[in-house]
Amino acid sequence: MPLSAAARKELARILGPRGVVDDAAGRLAYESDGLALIHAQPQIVLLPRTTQECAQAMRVLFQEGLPVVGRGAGTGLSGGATPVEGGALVGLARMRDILELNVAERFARVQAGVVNVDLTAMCARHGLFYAPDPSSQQACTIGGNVGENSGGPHCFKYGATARHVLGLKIVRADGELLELSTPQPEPDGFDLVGLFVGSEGTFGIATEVTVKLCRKPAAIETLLAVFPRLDGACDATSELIAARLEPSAIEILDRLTIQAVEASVFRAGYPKHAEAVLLVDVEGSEIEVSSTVRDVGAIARAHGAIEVRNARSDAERKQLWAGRKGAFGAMGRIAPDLYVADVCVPRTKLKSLVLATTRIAAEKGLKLSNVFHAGDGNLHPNISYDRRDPEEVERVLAAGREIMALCVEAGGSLTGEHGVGLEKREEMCLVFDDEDLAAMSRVRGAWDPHKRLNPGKLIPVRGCREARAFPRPEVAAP
Amino acid sequence: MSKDVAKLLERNFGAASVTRARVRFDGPELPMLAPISVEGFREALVLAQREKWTLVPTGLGSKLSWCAAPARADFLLSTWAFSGVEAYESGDGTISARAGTTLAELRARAAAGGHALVPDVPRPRRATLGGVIAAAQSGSDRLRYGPLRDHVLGIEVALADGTLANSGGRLVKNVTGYDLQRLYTGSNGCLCLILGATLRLFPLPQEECQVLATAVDRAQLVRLANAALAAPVRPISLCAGRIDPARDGAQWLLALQLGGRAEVVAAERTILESLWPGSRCVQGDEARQEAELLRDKAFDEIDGPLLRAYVRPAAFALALEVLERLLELDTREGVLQPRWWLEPGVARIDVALRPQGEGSRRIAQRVVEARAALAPLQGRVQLLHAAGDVGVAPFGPIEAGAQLMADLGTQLDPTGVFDSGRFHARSLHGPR
Repeated sequence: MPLSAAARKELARILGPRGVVDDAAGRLAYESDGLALIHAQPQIVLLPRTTQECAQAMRVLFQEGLPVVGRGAGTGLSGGATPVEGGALVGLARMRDILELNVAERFARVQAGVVNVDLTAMCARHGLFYAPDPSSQQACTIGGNVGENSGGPHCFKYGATARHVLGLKIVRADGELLELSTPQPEPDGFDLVGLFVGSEGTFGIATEVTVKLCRKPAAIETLLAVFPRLDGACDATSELIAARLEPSAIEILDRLTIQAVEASVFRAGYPKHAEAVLLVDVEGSEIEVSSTVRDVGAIARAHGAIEVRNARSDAERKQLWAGRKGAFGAMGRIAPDLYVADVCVPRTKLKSLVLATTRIAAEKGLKLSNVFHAGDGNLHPNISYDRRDPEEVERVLAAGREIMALCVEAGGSLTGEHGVGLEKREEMCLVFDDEDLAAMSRVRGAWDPHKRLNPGKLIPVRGCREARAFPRPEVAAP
Repeated sequence: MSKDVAKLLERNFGAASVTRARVRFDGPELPMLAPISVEGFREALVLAQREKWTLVPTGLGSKLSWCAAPARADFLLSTWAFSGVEAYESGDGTISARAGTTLAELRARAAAGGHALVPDVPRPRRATLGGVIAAAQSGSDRLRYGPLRDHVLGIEVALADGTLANSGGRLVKNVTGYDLQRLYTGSNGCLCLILGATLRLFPLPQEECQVLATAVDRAQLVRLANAALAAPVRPISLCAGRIDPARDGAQWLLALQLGGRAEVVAAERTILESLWPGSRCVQGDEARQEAELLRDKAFDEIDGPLLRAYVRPAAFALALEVLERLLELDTREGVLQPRWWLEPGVARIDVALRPQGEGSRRIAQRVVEARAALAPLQGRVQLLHAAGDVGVAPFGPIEAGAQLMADLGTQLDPTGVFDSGRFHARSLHGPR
């Protein structure tokens, strides 16, 4: 339904000329998020600067009956910010103010468009940091992190976004403002803040976020263990967990990833001959770190590590992590496009499932690399491909579905940090049944009774029984 | 009514399945049904919906009086007989159990495999998994591990119409679907009946110890607590209880629990000894017993009214002073005999009020005053275990989102099988 002229005029009045994008070329930049396989054209893009502007604009859109999709920086990988064709898109990239920094009580209140890494940089001089650190943290926003309950390597110790959000200011579908931004040790009534985190834009648009800040540890050590076999790195991880060791991050990169990183601007000094490297951060007091590092090294060697080295300086530590964080970008050297799966598996089954995903890709003639949060059992089998080749796209999507089904069968889940979005929506029936999804729909109905917010995302459109009987035609079209 | 309810329950589930219990210790006896299977719970809910009954979910009943007296209650639906660990994944650090499993059983099972169970709650033999989650009861170990709601990985509930609904799973990391376990945690039986859950486990410390110190007054207590919290140590818990002043003239006993690798604990002890001169340290089983004794003794009388205040950490000392002053007269007159239990690291203050004679009548007034006094400190004051209708809501007013909470109640329980009014001053459903 096209927006009325009066509504366009009103939106222009509320948001000003920089806050409305309605020309075709301008809207093109918003047609997809990081999952470029799926795209659609919004009718209008709105870029509010304040909560009040957002609320006023949402009221207009509600009266016009337009579906609305919220967006942070558009770095999501599940199609969660893919626009509804002809709907409205509300981007928060202009809401970048840090509103309050409380060093004594270790929290910050920020606008939702603040970039993740900027928050940590801002509080670093006070000896504090914001723990969730997705690989896209140079670009992704705190609001987007809230929508997806984002993780990152150090979530192994610190937990994903939900554990760090103390309060929210939310604009609901009809423009009503829900003020929950005061940090409280226990919520008054139901935990609306906790429930909202990870709702993928279907409950409301978070415009302000109050987050917990962590104290920088006294000591940090980064270890790089080099393996001649990928399964050795997986086994070492499983044993680190079983031995009850508590590093802050345990990451694995396989050979293809290492080679891509080393050939890119993110070059980290990973040995190119290795089949896998294990990157481990250990944090805490000096004595805690030194004893844990000793045990981590011993376990790595016991599982075949041919070299275990500690970063000798802060610069080397940063370089090792820059390679890990830049790995997805470096994949561009292998093929123009990258499909990033995001399955989670029990940590006792890391090796068998990593090898199985490799086999699935090989059977389909696809190039698969692995870079993943091994400590959390969060696999990212990455398939490099060219979206201009429709037949290859079909194989990529089929491999993605097969990987998800395999991991769910082994006790895993569809997503550890990227969200369900559009990409995994139909696969929700692998994990949940109709009654589970009906409960989720009811909760969604309380937040957004008219289903205006991010419609068609997260919850399957068809019932699970029907979906199982008649597998869907592919949602994505290149 | 309750006779008819009991008869119908007995006819449907057998006389042996129906006993009698009270929602509150001074309330009327009601029929209580304790099914042993999921099907039993489903049938009970379907029956309740058909008969337009209101039921009160419970486990072993230790937290039933944390909420307001139900406006209407036809029977209790208990999970106490639906217990047992369903899966303990030692290599993955998770434990899944039925709702009626006690925290003591879960803790023992986890400890045998080298894991610590969070939360470490008082009287764990009387606390069930379902009850602890429904009440969002964090333990004193919240200081290190955070609140319980962060550790509920997955949950299975029965909704008012008897449908079963799962969310989350058994994985330490998972964002598949809405995080409904965060909604159900702390829903106090107003939205659903919790049937089972999976919790994340933590490494069992190789070594534990309790560092104990005394403080002569509130100022010293706060000084010692702040010094420990600012130090490079990572306590599992930091608690303080009011003690008999005859003991060396001290008013407060502080207990700081350390745990982890042996060498780390030893180093942290040295730091603590320099910050807390004259402190002593107990280790091993003795440490655990000492901690439990101290804590559980403080909670032995929680069947009486308990005032619980949360404030922002920076306001802890001031809040303590405000509350002490507020109860000073009642204490001097002997109508309230407060027993104090503090968790300075998470800024929580518990006061078992122990009313004598006229004391009961003053409680409502003191709670109202405490709410007003702590509001500028963004404090929240709850009144747990209040006997009968003391004239004050157990939870303070909801400042934001009340209508949304009502809508969530309506969506999940449209006919009011659960009494949502127990949680808040006004029912989420309105009159039935």
